[in-house]
Amino acid sequence: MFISKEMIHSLHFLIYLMEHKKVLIVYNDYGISYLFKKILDKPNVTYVTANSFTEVEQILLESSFDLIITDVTIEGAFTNEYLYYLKTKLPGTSIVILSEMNQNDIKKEVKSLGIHDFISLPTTVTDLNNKINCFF
Amino acid sequence: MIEFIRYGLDYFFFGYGIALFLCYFGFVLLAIAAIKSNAKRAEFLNVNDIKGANDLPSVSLIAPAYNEGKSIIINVKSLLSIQYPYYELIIVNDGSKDDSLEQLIKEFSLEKAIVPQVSNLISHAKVRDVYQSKDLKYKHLTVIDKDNGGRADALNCGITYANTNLVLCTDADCIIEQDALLKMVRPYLEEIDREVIACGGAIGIANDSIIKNGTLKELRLPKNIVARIQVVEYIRAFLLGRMAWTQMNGLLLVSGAFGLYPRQRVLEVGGFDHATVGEDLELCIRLRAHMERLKKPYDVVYIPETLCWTEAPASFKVYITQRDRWARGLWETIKKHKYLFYNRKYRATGMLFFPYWVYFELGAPIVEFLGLIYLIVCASLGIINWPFAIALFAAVYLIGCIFSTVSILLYTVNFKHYAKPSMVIKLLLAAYLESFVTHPVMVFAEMKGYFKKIFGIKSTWGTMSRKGFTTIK
Amino acid sequence: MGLQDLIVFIYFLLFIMVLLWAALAYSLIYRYFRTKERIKIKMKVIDAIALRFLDHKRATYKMHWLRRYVQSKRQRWFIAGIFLKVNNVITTLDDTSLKTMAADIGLTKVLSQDLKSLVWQKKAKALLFCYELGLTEHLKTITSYRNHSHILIRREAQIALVVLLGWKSLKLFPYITYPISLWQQIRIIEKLKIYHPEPIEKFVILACQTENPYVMELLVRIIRSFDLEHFKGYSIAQIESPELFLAETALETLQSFELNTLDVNQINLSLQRMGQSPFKLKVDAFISQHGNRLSQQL
Repeated sequence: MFISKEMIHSLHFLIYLMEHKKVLIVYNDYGISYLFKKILDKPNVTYVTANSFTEVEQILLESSFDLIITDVTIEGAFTNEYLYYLKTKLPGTSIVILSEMNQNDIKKEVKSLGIHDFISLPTTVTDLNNKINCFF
Repeated sequence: MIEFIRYGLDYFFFGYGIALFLCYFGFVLLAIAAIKSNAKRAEFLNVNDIKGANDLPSVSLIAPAYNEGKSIIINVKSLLSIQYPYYELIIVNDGSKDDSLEQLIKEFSLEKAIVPQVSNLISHAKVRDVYQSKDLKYKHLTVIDKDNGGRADALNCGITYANTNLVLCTDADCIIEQDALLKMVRPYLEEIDREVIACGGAIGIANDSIIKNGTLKELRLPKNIVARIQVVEYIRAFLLGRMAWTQMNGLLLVSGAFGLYPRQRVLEVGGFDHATVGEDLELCIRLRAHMERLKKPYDVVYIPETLCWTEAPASFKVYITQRDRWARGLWETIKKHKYLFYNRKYRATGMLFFPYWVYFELGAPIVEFLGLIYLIVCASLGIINWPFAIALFAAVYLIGCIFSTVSILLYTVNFKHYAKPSMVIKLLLAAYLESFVTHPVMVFAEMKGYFKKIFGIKSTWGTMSRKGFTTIK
Repeated sequence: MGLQDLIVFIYFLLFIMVLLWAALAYSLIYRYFRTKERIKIKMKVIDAIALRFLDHKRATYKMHWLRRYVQSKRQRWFIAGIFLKVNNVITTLDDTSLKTMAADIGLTKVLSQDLKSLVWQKKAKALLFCYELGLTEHLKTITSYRNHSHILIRREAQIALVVLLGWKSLKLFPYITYPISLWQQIRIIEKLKIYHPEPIEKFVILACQTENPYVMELLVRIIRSFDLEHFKGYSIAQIESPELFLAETALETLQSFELNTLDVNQINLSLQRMGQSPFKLKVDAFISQHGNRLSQQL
């Protein structure tokens, strides 16, 4: 059977697409979201950052994501409604909370909204990478 | 004799004016010191650190609503968007005649709930029902539906249901900055030897601004000149006046639209007074008097940053109604607490702060009004030195403009809300028009309020018709 | 005052007005450029920090520009602020840590000089930086500030001692004479939880000798936060305190523990000695709640 070069390229592209992941990082401080992006950087993963609810809405209009890493509170929306919005907008996407606001009540509330994981800040680079890698 | 009276009046008005300008000049210096010290202290208590802290005082946000159907949903969403780990929101529907309650029930999936009253120390109109949401998203929300009793009564009702350390009294038509509570609890977290009995935040005007999801998306200056002038008025009052009083610990007023109090202290003094339309000023003075009687050290604090946005009257009719009410509230409160006037028992509150309010807050419109009559009489008698009078007017006008410019400068340097050059220019122009556009109307409205009180003319809260915020989905 | 004088005065007022306009224009322009510059610096510093976290050997060579910023008085505290912000979200150890990076770029050295500054703000900030980045070498200086007359210097020094010495610092608690704010108590407990999560009870016992009600309140909070059940007797003893804030915190702490009959009896004894007050009603309600629970258990 003859396999053309184009077919091999297409196959590679398909594999790339299958393996390639898109992650949205949402944090109020643009410097910190950029830091997370840098720390979590790895091949086959594209990171997009947003710093407000308006930006999140805009980004979600244009593309979908495999994972959302977000602070529990975000400028421009109230906590529970924001998380509910993410859950309904991207039902199949995992959501991980990465927040300094890590009181037990908040964790419980977030869990009841169906969030997959809660990473309390501060955390270590290794812990952060390990926990996020579980989703790939 | 006539000459003697004339000179007497001349010197009285001149002396009063000089005293007022000296006070304002002092306020500028004190306000600069207060803003600087506030900014320095804030560096050591970051809002992000507070966000993640345990053991923070819990806060109940109490917002009375009366016929707010036009904007109730967006405003409740705004109040829900506050970032604070330990808070509950209590909306008190004060017998609204419109569909506010139905809208709330529908939007937030409310159902009747049995919520016990935490305290019965203060009375209020009958509660019909208490509602809480079935939806987990809104678990912090409680809606109390009660018979109409006025704003003070509704706040008292909310306080009796609050089960927290602090209560934040606000209005259902306010848009609150998301991190407002984190900033407002700062003084309570830092207090050591003085108990903070009230904390207020600056209030800004958001007419024609863009609201999205209950948060201020884009701050714009009001297009209407009456509302725009009030932006300057608010900046000046909050940044110069209240910050200066904070520096002296002499603040007698925490705005009703945004005031945080320790619940226990409010209960001790019997809550808000139903009998006055200036319930915010009255409560603050009563709390101070209470602490003076207990001989306990205390503080009343102000946060200079704008944390709460409201809609200002955009027509002269509504503006007059509002200022008339404020004047009546001031009159009623001063009358109720006249025992404080030069009363040594109440230390600086009685000897300095309260007398200032009598002379310069209550007295200023009266003196201005009398001055105007005196001017007309003198003009009709032809005893005015016109060139000198015009030059004097120009000087007084310029001094007023300088105070407004200083407050705009202080705001621009310290806060980011009005950072665009075009906005600053518009604000300056509005400030320079104030003396000709809104100020005479304000004096008229205040005199109207005083006349009502002097001649016992009954008057109510007054209808405050509003356009509502510009919201986008 | 004649008309001429008044006109001169008007010119003077106009001059002040022009000065104010100039100040306004300057502040707007200054803010615009400063914001732009700071965004740029912030991203560069974050880039350098991220590189350090991931590959510290490679990162060390690339920091000359950062050293230059650190030497500038205008940017120094801004850079330190970025370090502290990152430290609040990412903790690191050893050679990849922010502590060593701050030392490498000379930030530690210049900020440590501020520890001896006469300006309270600089001194307090330097203390904050010391404990956030764990600079133990300044322990002696920090200890000398623990009873400083300026509230913020004192506060930051006391937090620094807890961070740097851990539970051992509780030995110094009986010597603290000034009141402690709620925020300081929150910070101390937070730092103990992050840096020294294992409590050492012998130091708690030493700290219990304090007579300062604010330190007592802090101890009661520590007892609750670290679940130190052996010390619940200390909390019971504080219920009778004339300081309401201490008594209330003690009651809150007791609510988080399982109480036995002996504990309840002890609280009952305290209750009998109390005068009529809303707090007495609270304690009463607490006792009846626990009494019911105990009788159900029996």
